[in-house]
Amino acid sequence: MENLFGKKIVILDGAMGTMLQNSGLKIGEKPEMLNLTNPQIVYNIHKAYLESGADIIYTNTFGANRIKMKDYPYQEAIEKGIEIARWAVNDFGYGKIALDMGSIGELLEPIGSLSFDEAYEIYKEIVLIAKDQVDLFVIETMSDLYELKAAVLAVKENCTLPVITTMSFDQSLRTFAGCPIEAMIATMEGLGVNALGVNCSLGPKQLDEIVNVLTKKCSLPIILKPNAGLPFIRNGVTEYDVSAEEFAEVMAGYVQRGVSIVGGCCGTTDKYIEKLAQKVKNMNVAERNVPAVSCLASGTRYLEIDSPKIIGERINPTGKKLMREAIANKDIGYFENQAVEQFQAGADILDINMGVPNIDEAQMMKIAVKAVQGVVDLPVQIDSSDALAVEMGARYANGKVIINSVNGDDEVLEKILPIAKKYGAMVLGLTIDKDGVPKTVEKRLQIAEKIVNFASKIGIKKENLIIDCLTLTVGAEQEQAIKTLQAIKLVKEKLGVKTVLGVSNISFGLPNRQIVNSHFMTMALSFGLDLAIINPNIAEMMQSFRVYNLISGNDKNGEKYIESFGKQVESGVASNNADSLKDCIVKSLKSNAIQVVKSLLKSQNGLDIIDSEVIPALDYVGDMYEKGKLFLPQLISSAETAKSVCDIIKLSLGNNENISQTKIVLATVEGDVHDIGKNIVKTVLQNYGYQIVDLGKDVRVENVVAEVKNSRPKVLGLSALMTTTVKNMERTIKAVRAVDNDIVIFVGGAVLNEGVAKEIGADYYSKDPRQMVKMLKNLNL
Amino acid sequence: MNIDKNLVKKYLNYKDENCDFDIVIEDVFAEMKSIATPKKNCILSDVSFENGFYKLDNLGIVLKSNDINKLFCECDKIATLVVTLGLEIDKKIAYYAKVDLAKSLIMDAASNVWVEAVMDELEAQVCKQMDGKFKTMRFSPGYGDLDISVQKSVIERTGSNKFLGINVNSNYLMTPLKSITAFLGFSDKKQVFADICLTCPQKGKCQTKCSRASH
Repeated sequence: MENLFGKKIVILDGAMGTMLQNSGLKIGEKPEMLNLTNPQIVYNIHKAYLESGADIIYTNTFGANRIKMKDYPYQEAIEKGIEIARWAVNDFGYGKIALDMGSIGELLEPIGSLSFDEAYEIYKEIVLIAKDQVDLFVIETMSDLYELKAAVLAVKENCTLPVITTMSFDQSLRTFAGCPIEAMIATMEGLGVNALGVNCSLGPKQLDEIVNVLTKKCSLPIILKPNAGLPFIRNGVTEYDVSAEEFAEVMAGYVQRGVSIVGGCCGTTDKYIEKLAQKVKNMNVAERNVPAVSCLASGTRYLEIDSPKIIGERINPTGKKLMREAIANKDIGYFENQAVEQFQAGADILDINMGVPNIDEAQMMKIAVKAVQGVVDLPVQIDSSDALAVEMGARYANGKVIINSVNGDDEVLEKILPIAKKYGAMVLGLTIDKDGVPKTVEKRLQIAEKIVNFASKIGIKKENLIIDCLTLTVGAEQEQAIKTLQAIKLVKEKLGVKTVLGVSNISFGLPNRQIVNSHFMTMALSFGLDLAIINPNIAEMMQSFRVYNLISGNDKNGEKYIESFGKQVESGVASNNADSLKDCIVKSLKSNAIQVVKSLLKSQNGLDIIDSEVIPALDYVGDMYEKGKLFLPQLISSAETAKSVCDIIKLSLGNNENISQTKIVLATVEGDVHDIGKNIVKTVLQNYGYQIVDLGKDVRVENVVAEVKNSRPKVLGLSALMTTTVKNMERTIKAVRAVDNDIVIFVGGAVLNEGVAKEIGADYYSKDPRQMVKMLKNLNL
Repeated sequence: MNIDKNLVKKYLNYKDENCDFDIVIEDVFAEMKSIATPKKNCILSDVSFENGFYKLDNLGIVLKSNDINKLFCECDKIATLVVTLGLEIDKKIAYYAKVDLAKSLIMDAASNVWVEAVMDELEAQVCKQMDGKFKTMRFSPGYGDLDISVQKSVIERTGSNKFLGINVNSNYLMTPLKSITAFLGFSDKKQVFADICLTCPQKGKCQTKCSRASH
């Protein structure tokens, strides 16, 4: 089947829904149920498409999954849908059958609550039903790249049939979920789909720019299955504004530009496919010259490595006490903060390393990858020597990742490269082998060559390889520094691959390391370095990087340079160093507050500062808020300033000193995605010293129960904004009481009051964080 | 489009009239404009009655609500209106919740005002199309006795899932969060419509009480 693609023009069918409506599908009726209730109608549609020239027909199973059809016999609908398609193909004597899968109907995390694994299982169920009876799988009308990845893996891991995929884009060249076309191409090509492209979304005329991107960047056969124009309403019915003739005409133009698999979506009928087939069936597949590019992606970002990029190194426990603790405690908030800081500092890619002894590294890699990509949309680099952790990272990351790393050791290459191939990742190869770090440039090139050849044998192309020529310490082996730089140049020239360096090792043992690091990086960039692994939070490093790109011409018109350094002015109210810590917090002067607390810590105990400055400031702000003198954003800004202060104080405390022992678990209940109120409560409570475990939004009952059992908090705070989710709050409370009858439960949210709180079994209702703090104090908590 | 900054302040529980906050709101709004993708959808329906309730004929949706019956009394057409600001706004609010909670809060309030303004715009367009008819106030799923579960049919049957990218979860919450659905009745007869606010569960608590009814 896959031999067809790219060799000849392949005609797909047109809309199923439109044809079903024309045949009498009632409003609100599930189209897939017709497979069971009126198979003849579905058969007629398949037959009409085959007669009009379609090579491939899609089964009437687009929405047949356990979520969208939870109250219907969806499995039978799938089986019967395949049977009907087979019946039509057998009768007509020609045609291939594609099992059609659409989106699940629930959004995946982090926007929604459906997990990647659940999505995978939903698609897997369909694949197992269909795999022996169809010719290929098609996943279409997708918006979320993560969901599409789950679907593709479900096909590829459970059968050997071809799979083709299409997403829906609007004129911004992104899907509704924000996925750019290039991110789709990078990720889907990596996962090894057989053809990809676009369906639905717009009419053929509006797809010009989308086709441009596809034909220039996609090396696989391109699918185009647009609507019959743009929709409009006539007499209360949706119609489309492009005729069958016009549709065929425009599509023929795209075929000339390199599209080779064509069909129709909403509004198209057998007439459209007939005209289309007549027009394009005998055309040749246009040749395209798609340049090989090294690229990465997240769900909403595409990154071409066409100029030097920064890999942020902070999410790595090596030499970092707080990160080690965060990993041991599964402190997702800490990973998120590190990710945000590096993103704001200008990192292009984030390295993630969870290598701490005596933890489940693979599981932590999964947690960290999801946490990081839940808060910033940068591509990630999975950094581990543990094959299982590497696989977990590559699987649960959205987009196309880097795997860090392999080296010249056969055993490592055999273990890690197949994972990179499976997930379409780029691979970082260290020029080291069992004999250690080579001392000569030539030997490093030799190892790099071995890695390239090994990768090539299993189908990993050069553009997906990055070689690390290894930074050695200049203080110990001075002559090696220049060899590293020479190796970068040689490897690029001879092998045509990208290069990377972990920069900071150069200065180990030397004073003023940043001077050495930043200059070494600039030199390495001059020798052709593509990716620098650094701490982007260090100003000197980013300054050197931006200046290099400005002078080398990579930074067109100095845009990045100006954006970074054009207006370095302290935000917020004008600084006044004479302010006390309390004043700084009240006025939300974060930078000043940090300076002042650092200075105070030289002469005072951290806990005393909290009692004498932080708490009175928060009380004052709270009072002003209650009196209407301050409003919510000001209250929050002060609270966030206080949080920065408390973070610094925590670092100064000894192991036996704690700000508070009272642990509080917070969650927005299942089904509810409004979490602003909960976030405000969290920030304020943290400042009063409470240890907060924030479970997030839309938290399932069993997850709240598990956390209560696990961390045994004294207090549980639940939030809900909708009347429909108050019942889930009640379920949560009941389930929690069953495992911990002593826990104090607070509830809050727009639809609650004291009466409702009592009715659903909560102990207290709190209208805002200020009131909750007062109540906790009264309860001696 | 400009947004009503005073309404943003009202949503933020703003009480001090001397506090100049307009520049901050304008900055936040400028940022929102660069990422939002406002989209609108409207389906106009002839109506009939099924079991004593209005039915939108071309959508097959029955509005099981006595409040709707009172409010839309004598209406012969009902428009189903759907608007959204797109998913990027949700993501940005969530992002700021991690890095700058105050900004997240302001953006949340500003986007609530903006999505209402987009809805006002759509309403104005429909009213122009229905020139000569009298309109009711807008009424949304979850108001009064109209169960919010109708949300799923509204989104699916108006094609708003496909064309606006709106998803409804099993608790009938929409994603993108900054999305609104509403019904708007049209009639040939000028009449005094029932003041639906009197029976609303939010009575006395609503921050934006303003009747849009055309009396």
